[in-house]
Amino acid sequence: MAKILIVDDSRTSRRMLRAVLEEIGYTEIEEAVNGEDGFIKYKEIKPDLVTMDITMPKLDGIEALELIKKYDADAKVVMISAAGQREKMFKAIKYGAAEFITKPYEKNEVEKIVKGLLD
Amino acid sequence: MIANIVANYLVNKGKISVEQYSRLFDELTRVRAKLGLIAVHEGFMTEYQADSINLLQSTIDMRFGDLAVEKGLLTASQVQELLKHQGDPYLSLAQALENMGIMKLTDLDLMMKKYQAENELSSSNLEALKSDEIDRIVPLFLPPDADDYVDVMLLAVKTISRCVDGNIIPIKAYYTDRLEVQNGALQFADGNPCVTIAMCGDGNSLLKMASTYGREEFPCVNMDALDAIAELINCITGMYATALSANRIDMELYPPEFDDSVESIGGAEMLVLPLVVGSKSVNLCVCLGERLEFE
Repeated sequence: MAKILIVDDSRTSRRMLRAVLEEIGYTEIEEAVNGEDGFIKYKEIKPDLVTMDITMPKLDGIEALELIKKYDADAKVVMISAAGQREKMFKAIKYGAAEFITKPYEKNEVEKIVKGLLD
Repeated sequence: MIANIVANYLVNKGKISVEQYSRLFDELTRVRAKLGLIAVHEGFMTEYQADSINLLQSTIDMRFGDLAVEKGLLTASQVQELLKHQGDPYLSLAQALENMGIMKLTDLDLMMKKYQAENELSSSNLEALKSDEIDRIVPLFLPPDADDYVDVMLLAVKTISRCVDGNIIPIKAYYTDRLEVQNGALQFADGNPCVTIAMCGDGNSLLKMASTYGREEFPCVNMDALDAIAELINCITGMYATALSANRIDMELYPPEFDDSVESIGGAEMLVLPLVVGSKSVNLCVCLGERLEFE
């Protein structure tokens, strides 16, 4: 079973994404509450996939993506955004983001992207 | 929205009781149906397809029919056919009131004339209200000099209407530089112009909004409930930023902030649009060009 790490400062957003991931069959899910926590947990648990919110305090999603990709160039990181963040998306592409998901979560979109990267 | 605004007015004027108010909406579900429901009923799409369009509406600022056409689920002529089934919204309300034995159309027309006078609405304003089109109704509740705020306010109200409660009631908006509130969430987005969008309330007034959007029964408006409100604002700000990006205006969204124990929100002049959501009054606050803060 693939391990997924959800990195998001919003408890609501983590809960919503966890519910969708569980519904599509992924139950090994860990959570991190900001970019810094996400990088630490990435090194600890070596997840198969990371979902990374872009807008977070402390270390934002782009900075955390950069750290993770430097640590593990093969890391699969899906960026989560509330839309409208064109510049940040360009940066995320530059740093090696695998995919993008827009909030609020739509099951079909999440399933297509996550399964596409993990299966 | 017309039904909620008018029914709320009728309650305030003692023309209908709170119990009748509740029953009126049951009656309205029988006299006026949503397009998705009619489409399923008419065999134009499956329930799953209709649900998927409804869900998509929480991420895209488009009407059901337009989205269904874009996704190839309905043709434009099918949408027109379905729309005919929906009937006139004002007349649907009148029919529901008459069905319940509360008042005739002529009595309702008289009450609407009073409402028009009290709210200083022109005839075209009243027609806009009766159209039940949210795009035409929301501006009626904004000050005449609030043109710059129309887009963001409309987007916020439409998102709340879609994702939280389709029965929200807007109240006349006003400018202030300080609003006394007890809790809330806000998000600042830097750009040209920058914007702060906030939802604030007193006590548990934000509870329905938080529980519905967060899909969780919160016991009260605590920090977890406000986290859900913050996520809702995050979606609104994101959609607003998306709309601006069409004009090559790039916004930088900052993490939402929320607090369950504040005295006020302020720091700059803001436009406050009070909304009745689930019978509770909440405040949608928007400031263009400055950053708002909880105090």
